[in-house]
Amino acid sequence: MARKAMIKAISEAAAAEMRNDSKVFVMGEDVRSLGGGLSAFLGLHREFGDERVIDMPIAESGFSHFANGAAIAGYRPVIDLMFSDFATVAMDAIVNYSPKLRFNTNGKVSVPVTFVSGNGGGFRVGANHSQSVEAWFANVPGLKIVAPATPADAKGLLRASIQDNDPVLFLWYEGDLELKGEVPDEDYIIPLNNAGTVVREGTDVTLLAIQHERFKAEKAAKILEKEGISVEIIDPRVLVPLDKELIFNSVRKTNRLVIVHEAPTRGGFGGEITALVQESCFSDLKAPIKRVGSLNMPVPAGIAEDFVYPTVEKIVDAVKSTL
Amino acid sequence: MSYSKEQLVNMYDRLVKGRAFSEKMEEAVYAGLVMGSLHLPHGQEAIQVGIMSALTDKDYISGTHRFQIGLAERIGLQPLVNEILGRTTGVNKSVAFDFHCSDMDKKVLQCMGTLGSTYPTYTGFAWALKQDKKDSVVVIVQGDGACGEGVVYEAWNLAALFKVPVVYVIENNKWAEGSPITTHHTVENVSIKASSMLPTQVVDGNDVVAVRDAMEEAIKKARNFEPNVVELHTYRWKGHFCGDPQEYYMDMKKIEELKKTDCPLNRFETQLLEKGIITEEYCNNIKEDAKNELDEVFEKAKKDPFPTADDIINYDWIYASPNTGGEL
Repeated sequence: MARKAMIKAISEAAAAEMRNDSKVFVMGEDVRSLGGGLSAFLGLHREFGDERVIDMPIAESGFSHFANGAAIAGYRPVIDLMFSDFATVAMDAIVNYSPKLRFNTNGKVSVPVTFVSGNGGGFRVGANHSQSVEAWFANVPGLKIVAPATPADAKGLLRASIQDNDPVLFLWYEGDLELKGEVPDEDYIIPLNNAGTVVREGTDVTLLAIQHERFKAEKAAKILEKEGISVEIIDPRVLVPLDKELIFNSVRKTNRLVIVHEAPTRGGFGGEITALVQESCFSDLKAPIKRVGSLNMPVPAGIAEDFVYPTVEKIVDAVKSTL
Repeated sequence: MSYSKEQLVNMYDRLVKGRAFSEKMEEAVYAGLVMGSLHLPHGQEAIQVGIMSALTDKDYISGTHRFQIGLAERIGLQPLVNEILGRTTGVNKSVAFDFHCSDMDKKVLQCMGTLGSTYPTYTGFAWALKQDKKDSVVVIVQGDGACGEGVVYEAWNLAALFKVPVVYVIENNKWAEGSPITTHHTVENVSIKASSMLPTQVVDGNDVVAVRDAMEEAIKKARNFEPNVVELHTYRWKGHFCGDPQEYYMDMKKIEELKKTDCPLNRFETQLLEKGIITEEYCNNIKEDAKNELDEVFEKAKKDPFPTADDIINYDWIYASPNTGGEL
């Protein structure tokens, strides 16, 4: 094990897959010089050169479509979309082509693309660089959505995403690009199926936290522990396909569920999990499921970001309200 | 370029078949045989025949939503008609309809419902062919209307940067959905907008020989990694889709006039008759044969089954990798 930053883990994952498979390449804005706008692929150009680390003009839509075309010709593009807000510019390629071609060809032609971008806030740069986009894309059949919180998970899951034959939207938490965590030394991948993990075991309330909210959840759990409340924390890590059984089993044990994500509560992925849990575990629930998300407002720049996003205090209050 | 008598007659036969197919599709819509909306190619047949006759077997094609004649030549008339009529025997088992249908084995790439996006998509595809040292060219056809989309310009820029083997065809039929080209562009030749990035040609799209000539040259250039644009001028005789209130927004007198003066089939037929390459008897026979063949193909398609829910609800068609959740 070694402590590594998030962006180091991501670039190591891409490098490992590029060594494994000559058809894997990285493309995006500034990938040669900066390793992409957030430096998630820093250093790859030195090893793999111009042929496999390909700079693109500022044209997220055009080059995401380009990636789809390269993918059906046998390549495995890894597309750096920088901030996930920019995935909206590329939405036609991500939504209308890659998840649909396999169906339209009756299973014959897959589109193995991995769209990678920093998701959520932490940069404090305002409304168009701070959004959490996962729920916008979760409504698209055919697209997989990966949302890790730690460097180790990002590495293992990115490798699985690149190996996957289906299109994957890989969202890492942009505010944690320098976050360091223990990353195993050995060669490993984390399969996308059944990827949920129990971060902390507990008996009173299940706290499901997506991406960076996992760290806030851990702080909340420590506070609550002092008050005699035992919290079980689940990080789903992959939203599509969602590890439903892991969530259901936890709720069947604790009988209570609080969901935290940085996307606004309204229309957020928490609503989907809420529906799934009440459909399968209604009789196990002893309290209404609570959701903690951002306020329904654009994300402001600067210090004011904290007023909008979920906080440890809000999570603590939500957990208590279920008891 | 000069063509042999056989080549000229071959192009004529294909034009006749194309026109007969246009008419048969329209007939099928009004007979209630087609679900969804069909975009008819009447009056634009020379473009499809000219492009397809210039393509070689190693080249790829992606058409517009009005490219049924070209699709039929590659995919086969029966599997395409079966698809249009929504039968399980269709080229994509009825799920793709005509404008989403494709057949990778026959080098037919899917058209997209969102206009313009095939340009950048297959620019990437062509980049991959170049990387793999395949000697193939990709021809992508979009309309003048689609050239209002921003991705079209992104694609041309990417093509110029990466020197991909692509020919971008602009089928300028003067109409974009329900409005004339003047609503969409301030220039007559849309390709002028590409000319800062790529070489362009503007050609009479109702002259099948001129189309083929232009395409042969364009494909040759593309094969040498010189991507380029060919704008083919024509005129849409029908509404945006079959059944739309065409009479309300189009000048039907003008269309009737164009049918007399600028019909791609009649123009070529007259030329060949004047040169003594074909006879009127030949023309009549080939038209009769084309009609009979289409009648047979449509009758056969009508006997094939519609899909059942079990045929279609197949998650293996959606996700390639094994999954545990069925529908995920």
